[in-house]
Amino acid sequence: MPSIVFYFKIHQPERLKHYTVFDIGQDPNYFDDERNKFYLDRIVSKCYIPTLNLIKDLIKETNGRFKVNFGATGILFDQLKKWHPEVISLFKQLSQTNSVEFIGETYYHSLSCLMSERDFKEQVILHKNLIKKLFNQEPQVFSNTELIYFDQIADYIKDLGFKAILTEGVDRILEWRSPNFIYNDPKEKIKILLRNYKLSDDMSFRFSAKWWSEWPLTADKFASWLEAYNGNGEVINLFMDFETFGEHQWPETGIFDFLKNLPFEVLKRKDLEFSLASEVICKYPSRGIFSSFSPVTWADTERDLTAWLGNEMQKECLELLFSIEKQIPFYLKETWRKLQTADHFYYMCTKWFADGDVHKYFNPYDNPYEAYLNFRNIIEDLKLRIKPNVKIYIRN
Amino acid sequence: MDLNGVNNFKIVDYLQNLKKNGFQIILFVGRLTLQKGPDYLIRAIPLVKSKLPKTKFVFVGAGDMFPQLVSLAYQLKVSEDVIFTSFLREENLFGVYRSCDLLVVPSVADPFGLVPLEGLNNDLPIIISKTTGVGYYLNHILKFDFWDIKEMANKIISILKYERMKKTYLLNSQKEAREKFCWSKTADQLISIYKKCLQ
Repeated sequence: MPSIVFYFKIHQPERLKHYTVFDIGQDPNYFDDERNKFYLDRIVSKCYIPTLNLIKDLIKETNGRFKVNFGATGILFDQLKKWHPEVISLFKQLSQTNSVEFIGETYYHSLSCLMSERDFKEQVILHKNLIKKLFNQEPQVFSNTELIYFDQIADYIKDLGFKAILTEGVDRILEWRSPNFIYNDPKEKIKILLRNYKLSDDMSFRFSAKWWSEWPLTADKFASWLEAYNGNGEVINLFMDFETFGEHQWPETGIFDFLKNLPFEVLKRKDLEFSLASEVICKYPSRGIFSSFSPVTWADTERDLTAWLGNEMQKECLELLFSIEKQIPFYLKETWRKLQTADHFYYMCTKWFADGDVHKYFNPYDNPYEAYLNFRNIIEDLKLRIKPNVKIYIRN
Repeated sequence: MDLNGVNNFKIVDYLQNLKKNGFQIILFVGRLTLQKGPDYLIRAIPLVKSKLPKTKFVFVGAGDMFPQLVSLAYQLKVSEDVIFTSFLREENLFGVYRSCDLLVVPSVADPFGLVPLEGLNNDLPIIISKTTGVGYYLNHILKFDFWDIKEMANKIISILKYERMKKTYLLNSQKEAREKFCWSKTADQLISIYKKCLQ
């Protein structure tokens, strides 16, 4: 009986305001609250509220048999707390159903695992504490920023008490093997749940694609594809952005009807069930080793870091940011960590840009160079602020 | 025209000498007319100088705005930082391109504008106004509103200041320009149009 593990990544960055060379040493406020609120208002009304309400109803109507896992970042919760506390209330109601599990994340959706083990661990603990405080849950399973995984991450998160990690079912690592089983890291410290990218992308990307031979995708058809894995898989991991519902796929595409019908189509097939991530890692043994020395992610067809660290500008900014780690005083730590958010580096990506096919989704910049200049000016300012003898600002 | 005592034919040597002395050089190429917006670049000079004192601004071209530009530079107290070369023929012009650090195209209205492509072809990073037509076709180019002096200055300073970005930026802009504006490709397209018409 294959278990279906739904995991929704929920995150919004704190975008930076337009910051020029003339602001360096003058303006200690880096974040564009107005724009961030604007985007959050939109995503809350188009996606979070309707989808969370729908999930709540589905859990109730299936007597708790419909189960989902949420990976919500701390930086998102901070913004929700400020502008949309009603969404946190909804998450709280869901957390009390026993059909919802919160997955561990880095608090700031950070790339720190690549640069600083210490800061990475601190952020994961911060997030763990937040989930405990908000929902009285202790995450057992971890999902890194953008599902980044390399073997060393297993050591890091084992130290922090996690039992499993989510990452991408990368073909070049799996080779002939299936993502629909549980794997271990090489030292067999933690279990690894691998995203079935084909089925996940059928829902999150191809759902409304009229060029797709399977369009329109119905819940019945999708459930039959899941059922076909019976006897040939133990877990089917459907990992996607939560914004799939209502934002990447607009309501007009029928995505909400699809989600509304899917649990019933799945549960009427006696060989399928929905599971929480912590349930499947107890239920199924590991069937092999999943090992990668270099980082893998869930991004693009390359499944690597090139969306965030593919060019010199991105590398320079990340290196500069972490070069000042030891000098960052306590009162600037939150600001420094907010700058680690992967989205800032994503905006500087040039690999799609030649065709004008810039990843424009909620991107505040006209091009990657604007993103770089803004970020770079802010780092220059931050470097000034940590100089012990420079008293240019009042602490904010 | 020899405003700063610079002989046209020795302009490249003069610019090279400035560079040896640690100056960074910003270039304008075009007619000195309202349409090309040279006055907006002059207005940005004090802002640029406030952050990068060792900069000079070269204006290549002639036009009816020349007296006005001289006067404006004087009013803004930047006369010493501005070099007017008048019109230059290819050999000297390309030498100037290669002696500068950044090309600024602040056109108020330009249906296309070949100058940005000339700049890129001579290994010079460029920034252009949003109303410069070529910008419609190029994504790897930083753009500004011609009237936004502060933003123009911000971009000039940033590119000159952040060396690693400058290299990536130039390489990507050149690559895109060469892919999109290649005579053999354009000729092929034209031939295919003729062929379609004949069918």
